Amino acid sequence: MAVQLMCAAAMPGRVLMTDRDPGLRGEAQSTFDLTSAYNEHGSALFGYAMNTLRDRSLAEDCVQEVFLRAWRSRQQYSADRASLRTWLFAIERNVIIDVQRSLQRMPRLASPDNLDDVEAEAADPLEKLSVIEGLAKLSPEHRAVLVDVHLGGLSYAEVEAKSGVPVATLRSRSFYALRAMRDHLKEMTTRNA
Amino acid sequence: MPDARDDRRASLIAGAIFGGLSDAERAELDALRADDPTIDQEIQSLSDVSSRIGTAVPQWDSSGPSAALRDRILAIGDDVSTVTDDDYAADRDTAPFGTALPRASTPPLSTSSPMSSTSPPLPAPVSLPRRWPWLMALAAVACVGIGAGGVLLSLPTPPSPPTGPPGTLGAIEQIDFAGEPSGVDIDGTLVAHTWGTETLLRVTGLTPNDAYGVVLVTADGEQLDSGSFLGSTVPIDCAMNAAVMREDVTSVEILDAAGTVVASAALPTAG
Repeated sequence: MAVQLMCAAAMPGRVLMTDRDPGLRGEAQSTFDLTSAYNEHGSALFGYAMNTLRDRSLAEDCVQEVFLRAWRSRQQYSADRASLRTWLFAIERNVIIDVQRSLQRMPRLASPDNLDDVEAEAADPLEKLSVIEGLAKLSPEHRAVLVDVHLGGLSYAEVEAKSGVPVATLRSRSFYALRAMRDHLKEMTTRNA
Repeated sequence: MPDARDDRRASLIAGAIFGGLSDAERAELDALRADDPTIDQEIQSLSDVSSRIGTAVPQWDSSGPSAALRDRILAIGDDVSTVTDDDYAADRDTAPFGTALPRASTPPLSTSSPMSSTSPPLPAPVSLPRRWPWLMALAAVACVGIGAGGVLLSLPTPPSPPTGPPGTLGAIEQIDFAGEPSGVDIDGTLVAHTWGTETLLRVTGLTPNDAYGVVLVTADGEQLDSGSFLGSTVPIDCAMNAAVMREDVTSVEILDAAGTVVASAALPTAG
């Protein structure tokens, strides 16, 4: 079953942020299939952790922790309250915050000569976390066009030449991807308020 | 399903935001804007979103997880149900110093398994490969940093955790333990999650190698296992989870293997 996550009202029938729940079978709320859940959501969860932490080993540990927590809490999960994807991302958000909280406690070594080169703290770290989570939740196709065109600076024509996807389709994906991101960021702003 | 007109509108708006519209398309968009003022609002709104994305995430790593991660995760079910004393010993041996098997000490969830004075011995922690080795690395970084006499700086871009009254999701709630024996120091915090309550402890002074359990107690006296740990000669940092919402918890107790309360923390009412 494919369920639209973020923009059902705006775009009925179109799956933008994939939200299939093969990890939950039938009506049994506590049936949690690790294999299906990982196959469907593992890459997206890894993308969220990888792009937040910028450390591959750390990111994989986070994803493992997410599934471990989910496995242990599987009997508490209710598909009536949230999709499996939403639940897993919520767990991961907390895992990542925990990890970054631990990192924050740790000092970092830098030469006094390089103080001017030290990266400044982001104005709002939660904004970064929210944006990365939103991008990770996008379908690979919709995320790819934002990454290529916006972050990568490619033109639609260049992406068409690279991927074979027509410009019109790429533009349409950009539009719906941005809409989904807008809805996600609005939700996260409310949550973080 | 969006119709062809919706798709055309979407395509023109995306073209206006990211560039690349032809003269004919620009004229077509202008004509649409004259009839539909929401187009300008949409362009402005989505341009703002685009700007936020670019500011927050300058680049995106599209690489996927390793096959080894898949194997580790698919083994979770097996490992949780087949943990052995040998596994426990191995995990204990490889745990970072001062870290009491972090997040590995929670038994499989069971909301109906209260720990009491007649409970069997505390459950052994779960052993899984490659869990939280970063803690060891971070500890090493800390030691190196101090030893080398360099300038210590905070890591960039750490997110601020949520704050709020007890029960606020993700917020750290300081709790105060009482009744601990002389020489024992327990520093505890709680974090309310959507799936339950996390207890973070730093403990020093408990009898090395003796087993201790952490339970969350509800208003009706039910004790919910949150995990277990061993006393150590070094400070213990551990995180445990229990399948009970923070608002249902009235106290946190640390019990010894016989079920005797070693220390307890009464909690304020959570919203």
